[in-house]
Amino acid sequence: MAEVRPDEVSAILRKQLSGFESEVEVYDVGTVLQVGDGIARIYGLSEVMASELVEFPNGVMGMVLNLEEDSVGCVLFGESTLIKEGDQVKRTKRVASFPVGDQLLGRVVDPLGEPVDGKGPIEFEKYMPIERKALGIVERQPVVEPLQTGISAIDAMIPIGRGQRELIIGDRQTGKTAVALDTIINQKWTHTEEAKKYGVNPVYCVYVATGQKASTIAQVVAKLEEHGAMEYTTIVAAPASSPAPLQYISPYSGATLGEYFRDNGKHSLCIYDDLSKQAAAYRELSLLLRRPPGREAYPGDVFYLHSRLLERASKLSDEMGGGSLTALPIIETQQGDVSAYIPTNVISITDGQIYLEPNLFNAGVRPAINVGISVSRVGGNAQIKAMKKVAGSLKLDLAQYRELEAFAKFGSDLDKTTQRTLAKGARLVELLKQGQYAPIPVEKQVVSVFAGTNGFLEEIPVGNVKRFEKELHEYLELKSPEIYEDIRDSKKLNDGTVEKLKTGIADFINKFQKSE
Amino acid sequence: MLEYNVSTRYAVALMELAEEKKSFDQVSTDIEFVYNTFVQSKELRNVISSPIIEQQKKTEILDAIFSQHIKTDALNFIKFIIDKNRDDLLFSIIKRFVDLRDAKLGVASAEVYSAVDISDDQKNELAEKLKEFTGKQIKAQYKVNEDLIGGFKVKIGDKVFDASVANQLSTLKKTLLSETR
Repeated sequence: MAEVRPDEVSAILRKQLSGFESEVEVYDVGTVLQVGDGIARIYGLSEVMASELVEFPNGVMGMVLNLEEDSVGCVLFGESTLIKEGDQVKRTKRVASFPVGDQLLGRVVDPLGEPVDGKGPIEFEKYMPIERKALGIVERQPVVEPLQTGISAIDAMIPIGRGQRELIIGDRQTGKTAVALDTIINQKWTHTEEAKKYGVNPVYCVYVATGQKASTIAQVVAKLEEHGAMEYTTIVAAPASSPAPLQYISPYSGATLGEYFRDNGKHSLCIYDDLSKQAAAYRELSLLLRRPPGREAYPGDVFYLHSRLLERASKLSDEMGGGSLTALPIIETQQGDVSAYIPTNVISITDGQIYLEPNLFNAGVRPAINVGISVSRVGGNAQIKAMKKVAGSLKLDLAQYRELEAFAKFGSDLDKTTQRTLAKGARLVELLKQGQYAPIPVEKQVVSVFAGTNGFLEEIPVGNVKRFEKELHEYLELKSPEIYEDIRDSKKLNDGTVEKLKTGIADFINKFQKSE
Repeated sequence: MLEYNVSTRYAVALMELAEEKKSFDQVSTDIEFVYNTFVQSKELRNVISSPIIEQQKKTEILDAIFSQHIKTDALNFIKFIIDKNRDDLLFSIIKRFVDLRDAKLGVASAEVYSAVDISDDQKNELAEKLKEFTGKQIKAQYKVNEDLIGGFKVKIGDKVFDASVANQLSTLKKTLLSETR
């Protein structure tokens, strides 16, 4: 904190006092009629705009949500106990907005842009309204670039493109946030000089924590810092202790920051963790504002709540700079019920979903992605050619495996083909297991999947698959690094590389020490 | 809200009726008289809006207070409201009528707060300026509020013209705080 020099103070005082005589401040006011539960009803404020910020006494801010015939419904961003009936409310003539700029990277802020990480104030040059209309058709183009999550199962089978909206859905404790965090951590490579050489543009990340425990948010920050991912990430925190209105606006604030990067021709990734809590917060304040409840007591516009947010994700056309905003909303289901109101809504809005299952999680398949019902509707176009080529049969093999899985317990009674399908499936499942905070670069994923789908793992015991994969990468990096180089550079898998891969893997299998 | 809608409906009805009968001026002075009486007497407001007191009694009270001062049109209107079981809304209906009339005639009511009593000359000058500014006739009420420290504050409808020392000081405080933060 900079000290104030006495001469500075007197300069300000002089400036203020010089206008003392003539300065007449004109402002609009209203009177608080009713206050409570984070809602205030105000009489007056006749020219106020919808979603304008208004100022209450004691520095409490509010946002106008309802404009009625003779009163204004307003949500409070602060303590409602500081406000009493009859208080004067001032207009600010400013709609709710969020500061944007590169200086937000590495910081934790609340949904109004105030830093909450104790690293001092942030100087902002620009504010943008939190509610912005999504772009039209002309400004967009189809998703063309991949957004690598670093998770093999996702990048191979449920690829996500830059500008896509992919839902992460699952019960509590199934690793939804872990998938999101791994994705953020994997973007670290895109900020390196090496990535620039291969024509991969950096991805800036925004993690919006809505209704999360403050301790969880602290943990997320610590993890991201540990992996050096905070440098290109902003966390918008609306913990469970913050008032419902702040939780409600937090995803929009995050999207505004994401749009800032997008509109400047950069790439951004927004994670909304999670939208079911945001919907609950919105339900709370809608009911308090006496809007009629509908299904599951959510208000009628809860679909629009999420659709207008997710529509802001986009890939800009080249004329607009070609930036992108990828959205990864997270939804928590109760007891695997994906047909509840909010999950079905968000599923229908997004371009696909990654479904995480507690059964798989408990069986040790982590990330616990159910590839059967997880889809990506547009990402395939954005997958690099090499991955597309090797992963084609992966989904099929796994589907066949799942179909026959029930018979696995009959063991040797089965015919040869079935046994082979089962063996291959089990190895593929093993291959797609992956530790947390350990993203795998795409070229390694290609090699692993290549080995898996082309039957190279048949001889390897299921328990050894992970070790085999790790050592295979070490071996190939040493013996023929040009394979990786070629995939990374050309993003294709040409015949020459395939041959090299085949011989390389075959050589390694002979050297591999099986353990029991 | 219901109250607002109902009050408007009654007030507009009275206005139209008065215009039809060509007694608009008379009715509006009468209603304004009633309004002022209500504003000054909290007891009267309480009695009229109280559900415990019978309507018969209320009519008698209103008769006793107003029959000497206002014409039958206005008095009948008040009684009619009591008769219609809208006694709790009587004050808001009358207030609404005054508001609507002011809007119609282009009169704005202003509340002027000043730190010290201001002279009649100053009042006239201020009213003149406000008239210039708003383009409306100004009906001002003057109040002394020592919290302002100095200067004055005018409230017209939802607009506040704040030229008080207190406001300047709070602005100064804000500026200084934001500079040092």
